[in-house]
Amino acid sequence: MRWRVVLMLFVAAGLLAGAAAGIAWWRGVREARQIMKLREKLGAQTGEPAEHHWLGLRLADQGEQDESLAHLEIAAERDPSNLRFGNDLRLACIRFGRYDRDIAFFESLTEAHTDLPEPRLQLALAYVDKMPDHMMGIVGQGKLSKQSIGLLTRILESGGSRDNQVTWAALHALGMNHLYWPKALGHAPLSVHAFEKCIQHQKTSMGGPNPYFVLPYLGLGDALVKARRHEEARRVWTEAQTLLGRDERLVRRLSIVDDEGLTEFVDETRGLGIVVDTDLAVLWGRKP
Amino acid sequence: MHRKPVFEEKVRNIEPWLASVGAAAAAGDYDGDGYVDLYVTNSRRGYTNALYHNNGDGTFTDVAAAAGVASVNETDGLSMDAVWGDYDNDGDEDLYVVKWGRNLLFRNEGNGRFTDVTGGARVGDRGNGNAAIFFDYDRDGWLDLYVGNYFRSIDLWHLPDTRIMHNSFESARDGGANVLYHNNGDGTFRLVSEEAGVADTGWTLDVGAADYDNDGDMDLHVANDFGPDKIFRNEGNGLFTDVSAAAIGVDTRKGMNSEFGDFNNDGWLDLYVTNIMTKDYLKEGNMLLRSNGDGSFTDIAPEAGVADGGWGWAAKFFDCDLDGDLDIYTVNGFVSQRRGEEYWFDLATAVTEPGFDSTDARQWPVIGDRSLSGYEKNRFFRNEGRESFVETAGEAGLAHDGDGRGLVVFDYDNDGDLDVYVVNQNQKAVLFRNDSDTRGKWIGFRIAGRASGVGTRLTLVAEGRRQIRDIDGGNGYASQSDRRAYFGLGGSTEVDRVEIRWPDGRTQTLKHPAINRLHTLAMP
Repeated sequence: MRWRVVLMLFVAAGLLAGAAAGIAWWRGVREARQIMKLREKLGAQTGEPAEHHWLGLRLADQGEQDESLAHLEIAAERDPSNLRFGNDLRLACIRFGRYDRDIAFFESLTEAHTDLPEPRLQLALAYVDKMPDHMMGIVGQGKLSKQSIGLLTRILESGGSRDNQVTWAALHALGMNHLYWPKALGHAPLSVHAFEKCIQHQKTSMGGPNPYFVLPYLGLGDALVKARRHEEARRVWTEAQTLLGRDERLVRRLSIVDDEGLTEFVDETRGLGIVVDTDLAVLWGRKP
Repeated sequence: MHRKPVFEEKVRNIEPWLASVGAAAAAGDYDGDGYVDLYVTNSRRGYTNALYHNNGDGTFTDVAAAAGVASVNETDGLSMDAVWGDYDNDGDEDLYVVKWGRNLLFRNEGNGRFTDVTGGARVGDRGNGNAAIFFDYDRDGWLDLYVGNYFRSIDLWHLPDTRIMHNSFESARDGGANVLYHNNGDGTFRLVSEEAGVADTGWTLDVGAADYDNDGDMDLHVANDFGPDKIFRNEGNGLFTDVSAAAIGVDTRKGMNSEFGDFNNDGWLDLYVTNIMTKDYLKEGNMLLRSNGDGSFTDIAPEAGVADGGWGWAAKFFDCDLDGDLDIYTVNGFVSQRRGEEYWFDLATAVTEPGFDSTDARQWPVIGDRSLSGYEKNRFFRNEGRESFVETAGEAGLAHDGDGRGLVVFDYDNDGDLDVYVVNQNQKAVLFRNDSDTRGKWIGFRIAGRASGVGTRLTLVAEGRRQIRDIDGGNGYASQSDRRAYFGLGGSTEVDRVEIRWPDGRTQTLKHPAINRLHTLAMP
C-alpha cells in the first residue's frame, strides 16, 4: 500500500516538474516572440516609453549592449521624471561598463529638463557609478564625487522634489558621497549632516517605515565612526533596531565592541574606489 | 649634501614639488682598481657633481673636478640621474648624466680624466629626463642607451607659460617621449625610439631592463608617474611590443622605481615598483609583481607585506643578510618642510574640483613651507621565505627619515656583503655599512668583457637551490648599484655550479667555485 502512495507521489512530482518546465518554455517562446515583435515595431519616434523600457531590459539580458541601451535611453528620454526608467538605464550601463555613455546621456537629459530633479539625480548617481572604473584613481574618484555632490546639493537647495522619494534619494546619495572620502579630508561631518536630514525627512514626510529606511541609519553610524564619534554611532544603530527591527548589518556593527575595530570595519567598507550601491529599486521593493 | 633646483617666480607656488627630485648616485669602478666608486649629482646651478673615488680603506675622495665631470650644472639644465657603462668597449666605464636640460656623455680616457663627447656621440637629448640605463637590446655587443623623460621637451628655466604639468593624476600621457639610442659601435648613436616602439610619453621616473620572459634578450619596464607603467617586450629583431595590459595590467598609480629580482628563487624575475602610500589618505602602495612564469605578473605586495613603503622612490632587491633570498630596501619621503603642516589637504581639495586644470601650475595651491608626506622612515623588508616579508628597518639600522631618492647597493669595502648608500633630496647622503658576518656565507662575480657584461645571467646552484642574478645597466630610480653579482649562500657550504648565460646567448658552467671570494668571469 505504502509503495503505491510513494509511486503516486513520485509520478505527481514528475508531472508537476514537467508542467513547470513546459510553462517556462512556453513563457520563453512567448517572450521571444514579443521581443521580435517589438524590435520590428519600435523606432526612435514610435512606441510607448514602457515598451522601450521592457524591450531594453530583455535585450540587456541577452547581452545586446547597444540596442538595449538605445531602447532604455528612449524610455528615459520620453519620460524623464520616471525614476525606474532612469535607474534601469544606469544599471544596464554599469553592467556593460558604459559609464561615459551613461554620463553623457544624463548630462544631456539634465540640460534639456533643468526644471526636473530626476534627471539630475540620475546624473549624480551616474558619476558615482563610474568611480570604481579601473582607470579611476583617488583624484578621478574625488572629482566624480564632487560633481555628484554639486548636483545633489542643487536639487536640495532648490527645495528637493515634490516626490518625497526623490528628496530622500538625494539626501541619501549626498550622505553616501561624503562618507566614502578619506577621513583626513574632512567630509565625515558633511556626511553626518546629510544622513541626519535624510532620517528626519523619512520620519516626517514619508509615512510608515519602509525596508530602505535602515540605509541612512547605517550610513549615519558609519559617518559618525569616521568622525570619531563611536558612541553616537552605536546609539544611532540601536535606535534603528528599535524603530525598524533586526537587520544583520546593524547587528554586525553593534557586535564590534572596540572603537578601533569599528574604525577598521568602516575604513574597509567605506572608502573611495569601493563599489557603492546606487540602485534606486530599493524605493519600489528591492531588498535594501 | 645635495642642493635642490630653483625655478622661475611664475611657478614659485609649487616650487617644493618641482624641486623634489635630482638627488642621484651611480656606482661604478671607473679606474678599474677593484673598488667601486660613486658619481653623485647636485641639482642647483653653481653646485658641482661629485665623483667619489673609493680609496679602498673605507674612505672616498671627490675627484670630480680633476676628472672633468664636476661642472655640469652651469648651463643647459640640472642633473637628475647618472649611469655608468662601457659604451665604446675600451674596457673602462663611461658616464652618462641625465638632466632636466641637455644630457651629457663623458668618455673615460682611462687616465682618471673624462671627455665630454655628447655632441659627437649624438646623445644630447633635451627631454627633461629622470632616468637612463645602458643595455644591449639587439645583442650586438655594444651598449645602447634608453632615457626616461618626465616633462615634455621645454626649457624649464625659461617657461613661456605655466602649463607644464600633467593633464591627469591617473592616466597622464603628456610627458616627454622616452628615447632609445642605438649604439653604432663607432662612438656614435642613432635615435631609434619611434621605430623600436618605445617612445613612451608617460611621465617616466625610472626605466629598468631585464630578461623577464627568459627568452635571452633584455626587455624594458617603464615606471610612470601619474599613470600606467609599461612593459615593452623585446622581440629580438630590434623591435619592442607594448605588452603592458597583459603583463602587468593598467594601473593609475605613481610608478617611481623599476627593479627586477627573483625574490622567490623560482627562476623568473619579479618586479618591485614603488608608488605612494600615506596612511589615511593615499592608499596606492608599492607593487611586488610576482612573475607567473608565462610573461604575466601578479601584484602580491599587500599579502607579502611590502605594499606600505610610504611615498616611495628608489628600491632595490639584495640579499642583505646572505641567507639565500632577496630582501628589499626602499627609500621614501616627498617634501619634508614644516612638521605637522601637510600640503596634501589643500592639494586634494583643489585637484578634485571639477574644472581644475592640473596642467597649469598656476592653478595649484601654494605649498609654501608645508610638508607633503615628509619625514618618512625608509623600509627594509626582510625576506622570510614563502613569499612573505617582515619590515625590520629599525632593527637593521636602516630606518633613516631623510627625503630619500637614489639608492645604491654596493660592496664598497669588498668584504662580501652589500652596503647601502642613500642620496637624499636637498639633504646629506648617508652610507650604511653592512656589518653582517660574512664568513662562509657569500660568493661574488665580476664580469669582464664587452658592454660591461650587461645582460649576463648567472644561475647559482647550491644544495639543489637555484638563485639567479641578471647584470643590469642601471635599474632603480635615480641610481645604479654594484654591477658585480653577489649571492648569499643561506647555510650552504659549497656551490655546486654557476651557469653563465652570456649576453650573446652562449652558455658556460663553472663548477664548484670557491666561496667567500669574488671571482672574475671573462666573457669568451
